[in-house]
Parts: sequence; C-alpha cells; structure tokens
Amino acid sequence: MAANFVLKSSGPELKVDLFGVLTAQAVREVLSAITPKLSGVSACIINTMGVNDCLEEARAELVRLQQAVAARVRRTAWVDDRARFRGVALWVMHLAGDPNAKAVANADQAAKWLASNELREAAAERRTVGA
Amino acid sequence: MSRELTWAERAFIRVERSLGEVTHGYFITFDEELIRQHGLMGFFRWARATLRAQNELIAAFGETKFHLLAGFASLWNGCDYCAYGHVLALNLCVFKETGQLFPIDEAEVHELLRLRDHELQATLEARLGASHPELFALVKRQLEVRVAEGPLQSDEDRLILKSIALYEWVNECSITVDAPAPPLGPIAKDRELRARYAAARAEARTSKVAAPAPVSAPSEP
Repeated sequence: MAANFVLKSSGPELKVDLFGVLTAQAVREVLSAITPKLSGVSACIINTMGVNDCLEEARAELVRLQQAVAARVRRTAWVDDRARFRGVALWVMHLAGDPNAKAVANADQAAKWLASNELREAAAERRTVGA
Repeated sequence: MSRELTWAERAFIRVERSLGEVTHGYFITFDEELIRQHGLMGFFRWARATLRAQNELIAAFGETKFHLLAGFASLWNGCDYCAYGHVLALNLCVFKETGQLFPIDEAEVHELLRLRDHELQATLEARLGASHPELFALVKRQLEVRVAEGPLQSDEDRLILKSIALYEWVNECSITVDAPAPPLGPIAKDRELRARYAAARAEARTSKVAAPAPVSAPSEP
C-alpha cells in the first residue's frame, strides 16, 4: 500500500495529513509538494494518524522534511494517538535539531503547542527542575 | 546536529559505563547522544538534575511506583528503550515484593507502543484493574494529568506532572537508542533477583505460547 498525503492550507497554518506506508520516495513527494506552500506559513501540523507503517528508509527523509519545514515555519506539531508514531516524530525532530517541534496526541494539544513559545527540551528541563 | 565524539568524550564514556555497571548495576547507552548534544559539562548537569528528580519521585512514591510512572511516561513518548528498562525494573520490584510476575511483560512494550491511547488505557485496565488497582489508578491518573486543563488538584498530581516532564527531558536523547534496555534503577544490582525473575518470566512466556490469550489487539498492523 503506497503512502498518500493531503495538504490543507488555512491562513498561516499548513496541515499535512499522511496516510498508508511511509517510504523514502513517499516522503520526498511530500517534501516536493509542501515546499512551494511554506511561504507565509507560521505553523505546520503533520498528522500521522492514518499512517500504517514507517519504513526505516523513510526516517532520514522525514528528518529532511522537518528541517525544510523548520527553516521556513515557526512552529510544528506532529499529531498521533499512538505512542509508536509520537516516538518516530520525536526522533525526527531531535535529529532535525528543531526545538520548536513537538509530538502530541490530539488537535487540542497541537493548537496549544503552536500558540506557545516554549522550546521542547528546554521546557521539559524547566518543568523537571522547577516543578 | 549529529557529530563525532572526541577522543576524550569516548574515553569518558568507557570509564562512565564501567563505573555505572559497578555502582548502579547498569549503564545507559544514550550517554553518547547526551554528550553529543550537550557536551561533557552538560552531561553532568543533566545527570545531576535527572537523578535528583528521580530520587524525589522515589521518595514520594517508592521504587515500584516510580518505575511504573517512568515506564509509562516513556511509553507515551514512544521511547521503547526507557519504557522497556523501567517496565523491567517494575517487574523486578514486584517480583521481589510478592514472588509473583507483574501482568505486563517488558517484552510487550513494542506491542503496547502500537496501540492507540484509548486502547492502551483499556489494555492496562484489563491487565491491572483487578490485580493491581492501586498501580492502575496511578498510571490512569498519569494519563489524565497529561491532558489536564487548569491547575492540578494535589501534591501527588504535581509529582505525576514532574514524572511526565522528567521523561520528556530524558526521552529527548534516549529516543535515539532501541530496546532492550537493562533494568533502569538501583534494583539492577540484584543479580540473583534478576536471574530468578528471568527464569520465571521465561517459563511464563513458554506457557503463554502454548495457550495464547491476547487481551487487546491494535486496530492497525
């Protein structure tokens, strides 16, 4: 089953819904499709709820995708209600070196993250040390 | 972001792992990533702060419940390494206290990661609700606190929130390594307990293969 994606632009927000099996080629296609749409976008939501699997070969491409998004977009939220894909998202944003991205479980948490100015790891450290 | 470690950093890791094995009974394998990201001084700062937070949680909840909170905070974040290591430590604590196997095998972590959040909660309730109601109530509360709006109600909630923050911080680097992990706690030093637990768990797994009884299946492959 090939991966598929749907892009939805709404003002300064771009939503990327991913489906099926993520292969390297499929992620490259997503990157090609979103690159011209990033201008003027300040928030990106990458929804992987419809993804069935993420092949090992796709992971490096996901890092490139996140780096491309981070270069143009202020905040990113990866949304999935499965821990496995939140883990993939965390790995991707960590390797991409993007502190403005976060893996969350639902649309409400995504909206909260996109509206905030927190940096992912710094916020976790602050809440650990100071809480 | 990725860089080669320096000779001095690699030498430090060799020494630090040897010391960890002797003093704690285990060492972590994401130390490389911590040093790559934060340098040696940052590693020391991270180790001191996370150890202090862990000790605070152990003082408040006890070692068994601490590993429950650590294991499921890490599981939620998708970190199989820390989830495996803390669920294994939780299993060792329960086995030491009761002589019984905890209903969740550390080897099941990968299956649990694939569940949707509501399926995970249902699975935990089915497995723990009757046999370990206090532990189930704590892990359920951790899931609730994660999405809670407004100020938290109790000191316990604030400590649960700290467990979530701590493992968001830890998992930032531990996400780069994979399970299996050693038992991630002081109980790792008890080699005799580890051997007895491993034998009992292996026997239980053999029995389960003979008569499989899945509690909950993921909605997708």
